[in-house]
Amino acid sequence: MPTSTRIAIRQAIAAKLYGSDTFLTGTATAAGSTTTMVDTKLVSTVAGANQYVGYWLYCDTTTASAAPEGEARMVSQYAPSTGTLTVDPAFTVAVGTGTAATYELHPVLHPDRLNEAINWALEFGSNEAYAAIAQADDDTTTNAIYDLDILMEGALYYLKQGWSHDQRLDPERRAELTEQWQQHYENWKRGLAELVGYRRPTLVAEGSQ
Amino acid sequence: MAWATANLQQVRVEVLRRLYAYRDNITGTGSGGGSVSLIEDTGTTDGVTLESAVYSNNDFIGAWAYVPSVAAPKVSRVTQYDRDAGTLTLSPALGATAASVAYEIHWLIPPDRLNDWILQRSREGSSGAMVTIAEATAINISKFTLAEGVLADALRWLAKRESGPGRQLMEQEAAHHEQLWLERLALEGLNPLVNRLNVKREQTEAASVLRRF
Repeated sequence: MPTSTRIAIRQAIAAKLYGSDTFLTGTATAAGSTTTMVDTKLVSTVAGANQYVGYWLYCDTTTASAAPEGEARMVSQYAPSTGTLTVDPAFTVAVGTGTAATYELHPVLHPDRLNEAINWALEFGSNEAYAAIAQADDDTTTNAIYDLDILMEGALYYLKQGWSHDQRLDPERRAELTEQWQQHYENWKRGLAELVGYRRPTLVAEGSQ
Repeated sequence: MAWATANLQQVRVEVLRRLYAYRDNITGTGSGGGSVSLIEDTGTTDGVTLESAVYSNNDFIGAWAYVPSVAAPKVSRVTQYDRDAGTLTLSPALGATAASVAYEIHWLIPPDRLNDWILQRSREGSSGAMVTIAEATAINISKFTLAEGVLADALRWLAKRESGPGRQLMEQEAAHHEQLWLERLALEGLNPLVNRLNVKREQTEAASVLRRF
């Protein structure tokens, strides 16, 4: 039976959703505070000070899975010269450094939406044979899944469909997202039926039996 | 294995997540407040917070706040938002103080409308067995199945507020959810007669035209 961790699934989905240009993962290189996180990888002489403002900084793992693991905060300031991100409101506990503080930077959707999409694709796609990954679970806990690539198609269908409802987007972008979620849905449905073996009922119109 | 039951809150949350995936705040747990205000400035309970230096003070205005655990009225509309304090000011007043309890933000569709649709879909899916549903009533239909039916209703409702390509996209998606609702009902073994009638209803040109009004 295939297995994976939520962190691996979420990062794979985010990379596909946003492209590697805008979705970033990293490790804090110096001790931060409850409102700052420092990573020298973010130092840039090209990026503007607004580059990451509005992004979600998500603390994905910490030592012993303690806070602020699992907390997401919106970036309110970015200092390109030092690679420092400031968030508001504050994390509940100061951000650490090194392996004690790995993070993800999500440009648009709240990371909770990605976790919800993973659970939905897992439960809905398996006809509830697989249970959702509990929110309290450590992100690095191994969980049984039906197939990583197929699960990702289901989660991307969920996310892009929800994203396409955003009336602030222009009609062309919404149409593009709609085309994409339709394609993800077809891939997911086909993968579930042909590769995993989850059959769906055939609906028969009255009078045609 | 029996299918899991659902209650109103579970189905509402499922629908909110699907409708407003692009929104940061959908559900949360308050850290303070009263009958005319809702505060969440810590995010300690669930990692979600209403406070943000990045939002504008116009965000949230016009949205509905729904607090399931208070006495009726559980619904109120956001009239003011203070981004620094993470406070939503509500009008009219909720039926009781809403401090430190779970809340929902309904951005476009009034929560009572969602509850109506859940009731209608529950009645249809149960062949009339579920007539009245309270907040904690266990509905013998999966939340995922009910969410598909309610999403079809919600998308049609939203489509009527749009015009041009946006409306077409909404109608197209509503039809997709209607199909999934029927498939999921069949999967749960719920009243195939209703399923067949629905297929017929959905596939007629007349039904397609009627849904637009």
